[in-house]
Amino acid sequence: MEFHAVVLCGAGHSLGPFSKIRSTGQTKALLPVANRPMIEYVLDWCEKAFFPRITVVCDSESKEEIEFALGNYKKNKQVQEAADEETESANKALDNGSAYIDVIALDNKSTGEIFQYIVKKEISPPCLHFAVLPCDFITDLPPQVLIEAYRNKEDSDLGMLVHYRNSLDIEDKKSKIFPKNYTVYSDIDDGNCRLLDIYTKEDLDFHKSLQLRVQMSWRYPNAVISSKLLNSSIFFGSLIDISRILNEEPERFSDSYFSGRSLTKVIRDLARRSWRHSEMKSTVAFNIVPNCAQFFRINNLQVWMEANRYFMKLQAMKRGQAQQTSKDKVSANVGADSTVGENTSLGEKTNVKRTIIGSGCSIGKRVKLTGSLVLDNVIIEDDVQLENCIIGRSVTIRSKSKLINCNVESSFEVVKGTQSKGDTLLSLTLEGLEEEISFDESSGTDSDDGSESDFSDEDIDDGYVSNSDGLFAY
Amino acid sequence: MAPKAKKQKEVVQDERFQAIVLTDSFETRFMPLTSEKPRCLLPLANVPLIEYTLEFLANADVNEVYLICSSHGEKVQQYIEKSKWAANTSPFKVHTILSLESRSVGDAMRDLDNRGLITGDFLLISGDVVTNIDFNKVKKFHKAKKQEDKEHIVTMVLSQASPIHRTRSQIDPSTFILDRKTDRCIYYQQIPPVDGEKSSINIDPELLEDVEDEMVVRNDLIDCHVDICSPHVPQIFQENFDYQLLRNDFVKGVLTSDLLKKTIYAYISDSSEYAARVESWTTYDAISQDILARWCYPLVPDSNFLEGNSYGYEFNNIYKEDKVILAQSSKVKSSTAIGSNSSVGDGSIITKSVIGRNCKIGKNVRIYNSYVWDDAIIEDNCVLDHSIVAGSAKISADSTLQPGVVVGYRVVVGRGKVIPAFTRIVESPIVKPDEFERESSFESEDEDEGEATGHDNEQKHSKQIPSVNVKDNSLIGEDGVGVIYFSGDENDGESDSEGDIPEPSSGILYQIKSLNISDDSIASVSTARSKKKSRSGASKRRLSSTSAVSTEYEGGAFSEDEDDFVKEAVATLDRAIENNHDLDTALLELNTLRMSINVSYHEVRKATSYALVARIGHFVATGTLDVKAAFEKVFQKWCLLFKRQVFDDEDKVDLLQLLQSECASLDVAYGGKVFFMIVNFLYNQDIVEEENIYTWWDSKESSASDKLLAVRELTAKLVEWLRDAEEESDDEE
Repeated sequence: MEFHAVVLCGAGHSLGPFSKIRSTGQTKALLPVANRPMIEYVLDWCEKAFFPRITVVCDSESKEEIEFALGNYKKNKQVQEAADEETESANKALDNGSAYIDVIALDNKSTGEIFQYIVKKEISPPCLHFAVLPCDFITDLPPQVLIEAYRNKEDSDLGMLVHYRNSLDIEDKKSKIFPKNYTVYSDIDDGNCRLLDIYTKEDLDFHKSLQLRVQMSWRYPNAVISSKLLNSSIFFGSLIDISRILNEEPERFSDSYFSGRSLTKVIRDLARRSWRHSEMKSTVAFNIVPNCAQFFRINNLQVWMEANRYFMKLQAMKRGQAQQTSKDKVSANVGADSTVGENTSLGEKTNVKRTIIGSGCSIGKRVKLTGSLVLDNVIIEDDVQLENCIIGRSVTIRSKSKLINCNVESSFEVVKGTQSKGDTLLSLTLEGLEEEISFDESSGTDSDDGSESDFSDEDIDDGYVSNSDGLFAY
Repeated sequence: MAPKAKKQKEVVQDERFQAIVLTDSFETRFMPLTSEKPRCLLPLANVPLIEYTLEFLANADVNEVYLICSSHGEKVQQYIEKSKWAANTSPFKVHTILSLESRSVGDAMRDLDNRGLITGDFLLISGDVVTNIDFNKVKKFHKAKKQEDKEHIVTMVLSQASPIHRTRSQIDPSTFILDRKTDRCIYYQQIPPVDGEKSSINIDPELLEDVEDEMVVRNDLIDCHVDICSPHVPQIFQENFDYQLLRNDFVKGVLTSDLLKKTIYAYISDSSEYAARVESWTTYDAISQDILARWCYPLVPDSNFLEGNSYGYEFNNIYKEDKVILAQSSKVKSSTAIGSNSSVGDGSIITKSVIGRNCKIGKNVRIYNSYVWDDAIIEDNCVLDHSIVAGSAKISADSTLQPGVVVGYRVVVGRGKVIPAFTRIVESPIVKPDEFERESSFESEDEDEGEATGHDNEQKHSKQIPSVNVKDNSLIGEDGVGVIYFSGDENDGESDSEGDIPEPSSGILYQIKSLNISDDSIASVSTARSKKKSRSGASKRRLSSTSAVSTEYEGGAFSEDEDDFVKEAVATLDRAIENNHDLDTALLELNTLRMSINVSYHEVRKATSYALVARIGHFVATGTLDVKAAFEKVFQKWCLLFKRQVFDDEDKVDLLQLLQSECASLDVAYGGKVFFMIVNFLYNQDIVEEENIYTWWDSKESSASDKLLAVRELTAKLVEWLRDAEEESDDEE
């Protein structure tokens, strides 16, 4: 059973201001997690799955970037493989050779349309089965688990959708971080599950109620509704079966049907076939990532941050306590739970904890970085304190600034002595429509700082540097 | 709700465990047989249904059993008094409570609350449950949940089955939405049957908010109405006087209430345990077969838990009592029970059937999957297929009963007749309104409330015009006794459902379905129920719809609800006077009542005048006050009620007329005096005007009887005086 893996690179709407939705941003697929572009994790996973062919779908703008990144990835792989060969650790990857990867640019397509593309074989199909993958998932779940589940699905099932539960340590009190969708599925014989329906929060708000269809409960009398399951967007499908279904009802599955729909909706409609009709129709199997596995999708800033920390935690555990001794009190201190990229310099007495610093950065003296994510080529001057911040590429942070829970857009210059808490600092856009607006990010962790949303960094002078709580900001 | 929570703490586990058995189902599904015997005394595998419930209670370590009897209450009472349960050896104390007024589970619960019998958590069960579940597990579950959740008030016992399980109610299937982890019930909704309309279960998102993780939508549970309730349950019924049904009103109401914040849990019994409720012909058939097939062991015929039974078990689930006479060439096949002193003639074949005691089965009779109750006579060459022959009925030779036929008590089917499928025959037309009303409380109530749609109208026809139940000689023959029982649009029901139902592969299931279709009283009940649901759910809608419906009542055919109103209104006013409420409150209450029962102001006036005049009469009769003082005490304040009840001249005349007749019913000694004072007072208060008094005085009604004339005698002076005064003023001009 060979799969054609299709990796969908989205725009990253929830990863602003770091993704391509801002002109300074980077393609979502290339945003780094623990200093590696996130797509590499996906490609690694694909490699473990031995997918013979991988197609990366993105928009034409980012095609070049992605291709470049893929080139890097392959190069690194080869280097690593060479190293691996010496240590005799992983020969399998070598035997198999790397998969054939190509990049296709499709502009302004909904994920539904891409799905249609795949099924209509317009993306050259050497395989009978395909796997649609997002570009933003990271998991330690071996792909074989899912492939095996797909193999074991009922013959009548067209495909299999994978859901997961949030395994990261993120508090999500008001369902702001993770969408509160209601997934309805039912256990069927021999441990398999079947997807029945998906209701989004919007559906519920619109109808003011959760409307479960009665027909469904007749067909599946013991259906489970979950609000905690998250859509992984991983879908395994059978090319032949699905294209047959689409051909059966050409009026229904028209081009306009796909153009307005996301992949999830298309799959939901397929899933509804399981109970809508008087006779059983082929439908969609359902799989939930087991709780013991880590699975997350970097589809918003909180998860991105947490994913980075997750890797740092792993790293810290791996290194153990051995390395923590810092002999020199003057030199910079980098904790075991932190990573510093290549060509990055750290000044004296700088302290780095639970933080990832990209490559090519220059960090001044007495800088305190805690639980932050610093992308490449960032300049941080002396006495800066960052806590729980994401700093975009090529940002310059002038001395004595203190940022807590802030997101700083790429290429932004934070002026001297800035004090900020819970803000998103955006640079002038090319359109010139927004001028250094900082808006309240209102993340789940700090909901009480709404009063500071109009905080403009220019207004602050040095006298307030020592204010840590921001109470005297006005 | 704070005081309530306190109360809960006070109710420390009582050692006694009480069970409340609702012997009445408040349904009409077993008509016409239930016109004679209550459902709980109908024989199921030759044992009255209630025995199964009591047997279960005996195993459940219950200490006290209260049987709430309403329809045929005396019969239940008599039965229990004679049974072993009333004896000293009984594992529990049995009390029967006659609650003849109750028309629904809600009424029964309110009655229960009024009686104050409940001392702690109790078991609420209906008198038609057949189950062998291990109740101690349920109790444990209940206790455990109670520890976790202080607001827990009900544990429902549900048993797992497939959605179209034969013992599951296909009449009003319902879904339970449960928290997957805790089994807390989040929502309850009845849904249309499997082949019914497409609709949806609508859950308010607010209800979903406190769900931790996952919930399940269960449509595969048999709800046999076995609940452990806390003492709050009757109270909640009391507080919500519109709750009628245990599930659709109470459970749903509690779950969706913003204020109550009480929780209900579901105990889902092991699938190895049996639980079902005999609530329709379908389930009657299915459960009978299950008992014969020993699914509900130890509830099997050969355990002989009814005194005097002597069933023995033979291979192939054949049960025979003593003194059964089987002809040499007769064949008794699998799953059959035959009571003592019954005889089966040569060449007869009986399979999957239950034959009562003292039955006489002739020669070459074929009985398939049928139920023949005590003392019935089946003559030679008859064929019974999926039929029920009630006690002492007689099927004459060469007749055939097609599937779904119900032959009532003492009916005689003539020779060589073929009774078409789904016919129901009764001995004599069912006209005794009392009995019928009780059984058909749903319909009657619905009519009360003015929901009489086409279907109900037809129901009413069959009830009120006995001529519909004609003796049809062509059907049962010249020598037959009995009439067809109609309960409504039988034919429609049949043709509607035929074909729509996906035919399950099993033959018996199909037959069940057919039985089900035939029993259109079932359908009527469920429609009535759903109407009820919508009504109680949306009182606003009810108000707006009443005006449209009220026209149907102009004929006065439905004096019943008016009586209800008068009763209620008088009670309200009595309360108001007694407790010295303020006028506005009383008015508001009256008005609400008026709108909810949808009566005209005439009724309101009638009730008010009755209440006030009766009050005066009360004071005078008991000697508390003299006539004048009594009048003043009552009328000074409460007379103003009338001000808001009369609007035009006609109303005012009507009021005088009503007061006159009320006063006429007082003692002759002071009736006239009171009336005079009332009229005078009303005139002085400008509630009535001269013209009204004249019109009334001159009307025929006011002088229709001697009594009325006597009462108005005194008032003559007043009228005279008024007239004089008018003339004088005229003269002056």
